[in-house]
Amino acid sequence: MFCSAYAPRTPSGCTRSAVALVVVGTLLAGCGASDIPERQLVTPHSKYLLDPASPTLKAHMHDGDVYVLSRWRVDESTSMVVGTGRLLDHNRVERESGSFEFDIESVALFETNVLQPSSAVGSMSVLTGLSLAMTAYCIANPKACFGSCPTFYARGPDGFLLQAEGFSSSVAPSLEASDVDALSRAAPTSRMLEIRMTNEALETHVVRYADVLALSRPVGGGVVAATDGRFYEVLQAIQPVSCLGPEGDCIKPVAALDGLERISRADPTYLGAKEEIVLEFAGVPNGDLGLVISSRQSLMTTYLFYQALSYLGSSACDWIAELERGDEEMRQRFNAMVDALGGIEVLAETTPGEFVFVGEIRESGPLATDTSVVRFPRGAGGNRRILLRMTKGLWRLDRVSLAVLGSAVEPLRLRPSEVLHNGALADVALDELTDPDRSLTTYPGDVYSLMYELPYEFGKYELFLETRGYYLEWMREEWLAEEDLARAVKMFLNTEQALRDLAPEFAAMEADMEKTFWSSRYVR
Amino acid sequence: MFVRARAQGIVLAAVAVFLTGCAPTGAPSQWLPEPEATQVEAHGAWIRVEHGTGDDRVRTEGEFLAVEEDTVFILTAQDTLGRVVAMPKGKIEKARLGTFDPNMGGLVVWTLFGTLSTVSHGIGLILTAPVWIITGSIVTGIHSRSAIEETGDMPWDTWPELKVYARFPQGLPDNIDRASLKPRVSGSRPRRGSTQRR
Repeated sequence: MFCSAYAPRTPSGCTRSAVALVVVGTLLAGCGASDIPERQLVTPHSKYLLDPASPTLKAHMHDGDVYVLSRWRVDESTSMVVGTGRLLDHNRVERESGSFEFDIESVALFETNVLQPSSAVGSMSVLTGLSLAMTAYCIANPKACFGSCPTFYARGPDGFLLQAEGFSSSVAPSLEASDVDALSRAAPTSRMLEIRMTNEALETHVVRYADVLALSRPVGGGVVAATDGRFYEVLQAIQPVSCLGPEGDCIKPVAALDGLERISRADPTYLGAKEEIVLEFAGVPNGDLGLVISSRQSLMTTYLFYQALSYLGSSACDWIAELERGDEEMRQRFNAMVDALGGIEVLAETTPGEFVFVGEIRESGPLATDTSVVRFPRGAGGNRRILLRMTKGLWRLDRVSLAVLGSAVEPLRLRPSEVLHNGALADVALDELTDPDRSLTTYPGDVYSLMYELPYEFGKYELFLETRGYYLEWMREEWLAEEDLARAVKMFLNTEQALRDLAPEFAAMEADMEKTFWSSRYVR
Repeated sequence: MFVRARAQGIVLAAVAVFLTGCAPTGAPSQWLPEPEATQVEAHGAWIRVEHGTGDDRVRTEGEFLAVEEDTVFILTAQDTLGRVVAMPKGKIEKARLGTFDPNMGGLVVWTLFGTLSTVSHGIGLILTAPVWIITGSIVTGIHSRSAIEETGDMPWDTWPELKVYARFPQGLPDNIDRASLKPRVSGSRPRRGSTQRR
């Protein structure tokens, strides 16, 4: 540490006590001075934008009264709001308290209030704890250190929410790729849409473009991105009537896009072990169908990637350079682990007990839930059973539904009209994102606000974000301690054995990995 | 001795910087809710509008009740009685809303303690203390301004975005007796309670 190297002498006992008191005071004084309340209004018509994770809900009534509910839910089937809390009159004096149930249509406006950490105060937190907290977490668990591709936030009903992570698998220039993510939770309130692009890890991000795709929704329906690269209208979404996994009933976590995910633990003896869940749908109409899955990965792939870098150690750059020189064998070895783990395979029952492969979802990234559809061959209606096969512990399923699909639709491509960097206008960055021959490079801590002008009647459009680029991990000092080229070679040449060898270590850290990961973010 | 004297000087400099950087909300003391309390209470923000020009410039302030297509409604306070002022939007030169109590005391103390803690850095505080002062003053200023919303020289109407801070964001209820509307009494803000943090 710089400071200790230059300290003139060892402090006396009294001075040490005084300094300790000041340090404790520093930490305590920071408490409570950090939150900013973010308020959002949602009309009853747009109730699907209400975030069930919001701790409170205010329902403003036409007569001026307001319900303030601390436990609440919206029952879609009965169009009722149910919750506990208080009813206040037009002077905000309490009329009643307890449990309430009322019609959504009787509400004039919904209001949510979410506390967000102050980004300004967040920088103070970094100043206070960066060298302590981040180092402590990464030293304790180097493979759980936060890392990601560019992350994208957009304003939802309750403030800025993580919406997408771009090109998660593009960890080298030769792996540059495009990526499309649904902005499911974005709730623009005007034609100007702000998307914040952040670099929150020790990485360099190279972004070719970040365009918003706007697709007109059919009345009462939606639009979804398919695994064939096209977009399709969703005319009707059918929830499963049953979901059966190794753990038993799994219907509740997959019924709605609500942040409640169906997860499983990795196999402690072999990370490539598969699991299956079977979903049943009733009353399916004839027509074009597709299985809509909203999912994200667990931290297993992050762990394996970082483990590979650790084993490569000081020679990691040499190996990446081989990849860049177009060595096909190197590329195949690099992808071997990804192929061994696979995606979410979708199989449809054709005759009782017989399931046929229909498609696979391979959207990578552990941060943001994304939604895709796997289209089915046209078939008869009635009851349908679908089997999902995937690597245990790798996938987090938020929602699975069967969609009646309409036509393919073409998007309106919207380029950013303005870019701000850390709050200031950045015309150069705007050029770099809109010129096909240039790219924007970002570094840890960078925050870019990308502004898009949406079409008129923007509320009638489904929004997606298409990004292209690649990123480079910065080697962490903690990783170099594990340099072991023999193990690195085994990971690439004998992937199956490597997945067996690494299974016990991953299983031991799996439970705490999420907490460690999010705690070691560079920004905020 | 040198280090202690230096620390005293640095703290004095820090205080001076903070006092010039903070932005006041303009609300009466203890009128605005603290951040956590905004989740459970339902009064409007404190609003201050300026209308008229030159010698005729007038300031009106009170609780932000509602905004409709061409009118802003403010509940001014006269003791425990209130008076609803309906102000045409076109006549408002500028408006400022205080939306919550940013609890500046905690931040200022945090930065002062942080600055003082650099004493432990020995001669290194020459570099680290100014970092605390600069960062702290910027952060304190930014955080105080996060509690304020303003209309300004905008080319578009910002009032629709501000209605979320009104007591009646849906607009003034049609059949309400305006004479029955009562202002919040200063010092009566709700305490931090069992509000849930996301």
